[in-house]
Amino acid sequence: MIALTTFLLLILGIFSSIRVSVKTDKWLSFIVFLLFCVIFGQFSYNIINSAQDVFSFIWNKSPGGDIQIDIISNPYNYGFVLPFFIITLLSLALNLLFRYEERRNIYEAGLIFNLAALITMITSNNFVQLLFALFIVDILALLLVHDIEAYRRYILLNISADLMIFTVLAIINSRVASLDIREILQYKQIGLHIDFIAIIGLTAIFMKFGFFIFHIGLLGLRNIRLHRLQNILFLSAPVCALILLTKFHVLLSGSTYFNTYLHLVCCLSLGGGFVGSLCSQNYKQRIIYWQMMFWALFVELLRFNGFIWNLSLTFLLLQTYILNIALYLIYYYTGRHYHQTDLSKINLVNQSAMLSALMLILLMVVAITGVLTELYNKGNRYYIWTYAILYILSLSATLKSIFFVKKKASYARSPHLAPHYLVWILLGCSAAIVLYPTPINAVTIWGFGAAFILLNRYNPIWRIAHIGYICRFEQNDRIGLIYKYGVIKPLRLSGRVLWLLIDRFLTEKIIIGGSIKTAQIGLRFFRKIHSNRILGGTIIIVLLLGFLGLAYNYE
Amino acid sequence: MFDLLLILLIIPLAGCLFALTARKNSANAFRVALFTMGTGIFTILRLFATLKMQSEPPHLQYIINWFAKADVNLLLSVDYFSLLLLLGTYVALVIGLVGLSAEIRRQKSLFVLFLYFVWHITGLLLAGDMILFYIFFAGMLIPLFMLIGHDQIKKKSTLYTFFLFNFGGVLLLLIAILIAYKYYSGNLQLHEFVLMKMPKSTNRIVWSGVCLALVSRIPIWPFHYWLSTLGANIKNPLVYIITNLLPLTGLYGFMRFWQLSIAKSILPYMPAVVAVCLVTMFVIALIGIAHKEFLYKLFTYMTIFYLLFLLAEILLSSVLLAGTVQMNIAYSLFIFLIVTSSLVVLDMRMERECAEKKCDYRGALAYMPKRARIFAFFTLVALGLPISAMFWNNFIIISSLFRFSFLIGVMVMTAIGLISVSMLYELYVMRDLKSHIDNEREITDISRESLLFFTVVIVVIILSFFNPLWFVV
Repeated sequence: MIALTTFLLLILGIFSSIRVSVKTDKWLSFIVFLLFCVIFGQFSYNIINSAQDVFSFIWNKSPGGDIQIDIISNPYNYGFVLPFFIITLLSLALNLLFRYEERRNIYEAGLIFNLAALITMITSNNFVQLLFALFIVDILALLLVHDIEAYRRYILLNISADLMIFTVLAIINSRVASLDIREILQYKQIGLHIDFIAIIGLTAIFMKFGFFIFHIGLLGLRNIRLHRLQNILFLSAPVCALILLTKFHVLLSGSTYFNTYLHLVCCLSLGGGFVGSLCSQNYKQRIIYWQMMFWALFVELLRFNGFIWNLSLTFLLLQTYILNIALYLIYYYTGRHYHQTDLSKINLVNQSAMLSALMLILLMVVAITGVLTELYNKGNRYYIWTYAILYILSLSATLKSIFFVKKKASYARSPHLAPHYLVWILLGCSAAIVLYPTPINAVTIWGFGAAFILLNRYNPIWRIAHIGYICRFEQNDRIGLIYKYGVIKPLRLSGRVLWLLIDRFLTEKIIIGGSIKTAQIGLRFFRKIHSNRILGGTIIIVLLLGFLGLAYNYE
Repeated sequence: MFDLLLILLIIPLAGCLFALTARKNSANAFRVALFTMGTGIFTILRLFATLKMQSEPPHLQYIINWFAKADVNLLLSVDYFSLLLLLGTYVALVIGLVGLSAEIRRQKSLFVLFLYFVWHITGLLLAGDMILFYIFFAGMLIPLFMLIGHDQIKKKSTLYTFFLFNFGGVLLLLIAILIAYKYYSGNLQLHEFVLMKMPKSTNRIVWSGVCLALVSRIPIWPFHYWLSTLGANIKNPLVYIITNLLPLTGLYGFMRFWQLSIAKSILPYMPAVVAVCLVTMFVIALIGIAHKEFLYKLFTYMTIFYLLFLLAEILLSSVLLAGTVQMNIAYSLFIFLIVTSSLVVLDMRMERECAEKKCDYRGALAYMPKRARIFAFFTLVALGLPISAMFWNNFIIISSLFRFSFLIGVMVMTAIGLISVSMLYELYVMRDLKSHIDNEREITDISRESLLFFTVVIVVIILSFFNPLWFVV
């Protein structure tokens, strides 16, 4: 069933990749969207009927283990795939409505292939299938980003993470002699180098999530178009990290450092994301920081849930995505037309549209709070509280600087974009779907909503970017400098020193130079012999006599 | 049907003689070379089909009764392993031929020497006995020396050093064979050499000679020096590819000599060899980071992978995994040869285009979007993109190394990681638009014919992912 969906997605992706003229592109992208909706309908029908099925075939046989392609349809996998399916669907719809791209259907093809790769990852039971899909998602991310300068750090970090995961899987395979992911339990029992595997594996996962100190890869994407950035944040490397974590937590948690390392990095990401988002004046950069905070919370929630995916997590993910769409709308009605992302310069243009965006944000914040309240009883309460407070403070500080601070820039320069009613219909429907039944009463929730609005107006910390010393750390890309002077420069320097010492000095000067010198000394010696006839004659006679003696005595 | 082996051996020699008769300053010799290689590839594919029908273990042999009185028969022998390497070598050389400029295609002597070299490498990969192996192992130095000289490299001393190093290796192999000849009669098959009974001290001397001879071809420290300095001086992509095929001959020698087991007399020295291999890998990866040219990084990458295969052979021969891992090495090498030669051709053509139009190295690929895409594809395949047989087989090889020793596995992966990231960064540098935005130039992108050719190569690579032996009917 999921296999059929994946197969249909691949066909649709190929269909969408056809290069057509700009006029045809408009229609083709619409048809692709409709077909995608049909596939989603088929997928939803299977979910409702709880259709179960195993699609499996042996792709390649080897003494090291067969490569078996598995696409397993069961309620768990349906639940896991569902949010990413919906997010892709919304992305395609917004791509149509906002005319994000010049070549819409090519971009849509990228998103569809990406979803197929994610499904392959989620349903995989084989290392090779998993790695294959992982690499494909990374490559598709490059197509989605489509900006060489922006993805430099992102791709370097991601490839490093992929190589680390490759190493971990190679170690596991070396002991269990099987490519089956389910065999990792056997490795856990063997328990060799489990700490090494946990640290390397977790570091790779953190790199993919873009957690603190590895977030510079994602920060590099701040100059790409916002919808592309949001698709990367919700459908690319962080999702791969999430899938890897759910698949390998059984093995990774075998290490005593697992919980400490995970918790430490999540806390750092939460704190770092908060400080970074307040210090940054770039709107897109703030979105990246918020997403870092969100994934840190999500990982912690997943941990408290035993790394098992459930409906609450699905809702939380979808609500956060819709909140991000609202953030996109703010950008659309303010800075997009003249590519303005500096918060101090973003102008409030269309009052009614902006108010609607604000309402949507409020709705989503309330919805997220509802889900968090439900998860509150299962998880680490302090952590959820901290996240909620920090996130709301940061979000309201941003909204304050957009809505309630007067700007010097002229309003006349900005285009007056009319609100797109189709967008509101779409978002209204989405919001209705993801409004989760909460265990707390409505009065409390709406009271909280009102408090949020007030906080937007009177946020005390919105100017921290101008006064905080710590902000200079963020603003001057100090983490980038740490990488540069802590990792890259020392590696280059050691390479240069080794080249000078080994290639130039030891090999060229000593070994080769020494050999040539020795040969020259020998030549000079023989020349000397020739220049002095008596000595030369004596030496050659002695040598010849020596050979004669050897020949005579040979048995 | 076994005569196919003989036919395969004769094809490049016949092509070489035919190219000799071509007119000067015309592309006839180039066409002969191309046609010869095409015929060779067709014969190899036919051999694959024939091999499939053989009983286990599948192999083909052809015996030439050379010197009946002394019971010296020459043996040509192939199995899937050697055929895959042959096919990889031929395809790599065809890529090198396609990468030549119109001006170079008129140099008759280059193609005569090239075909003479192809004859030797074909002979080496077909050789089943000591005599043939030695003849082709030593003989290929002459065309190689002349081919590099033909490229008019600036630093002549490097060429002589290279020749002396390799000639030293050849002499050592000759001495080892002559000493060993006391203990057998007639001609000995390559894999039987390790089973030969000799006094312990003689055994040690013989095997030390053989190993040093083979190691002299592999860029293990300090032998890597000649290859790196030569690489920096060669400007002809075909010659560059040929020079980088030399380590393959050393590696193949190890694979054949130690097909059954590793020589016991030199086993105590193996940890030292392994240590030198690992240190070389690590050091050369760091040196690769320090250099700024893509070609040097590619050389570093090739060195690391040749050493990886050597390590796998040395370490896994002693734990009875050789049989299975050897085929993984062959599959991986097949794609490795194709990918690296494609990158050499693409990089050298790009640099030449840029030198003619006086554009910077940084951002050069930004002018050539089609070439940039192909370049990026091959680089990503080299780094381990799972769309070729190389990815899956390297996974098995590295996994086997981890099984043997965790530390060795970690060091190998560190070296691979360092060079992979370094190559990827260089790819970014070549595509970086920053310095070219205000300085656009008219630079020709890849030609339609080359684009078509590389598309075919890409299809071959992708097909290998689904089944490494997809071409066996």
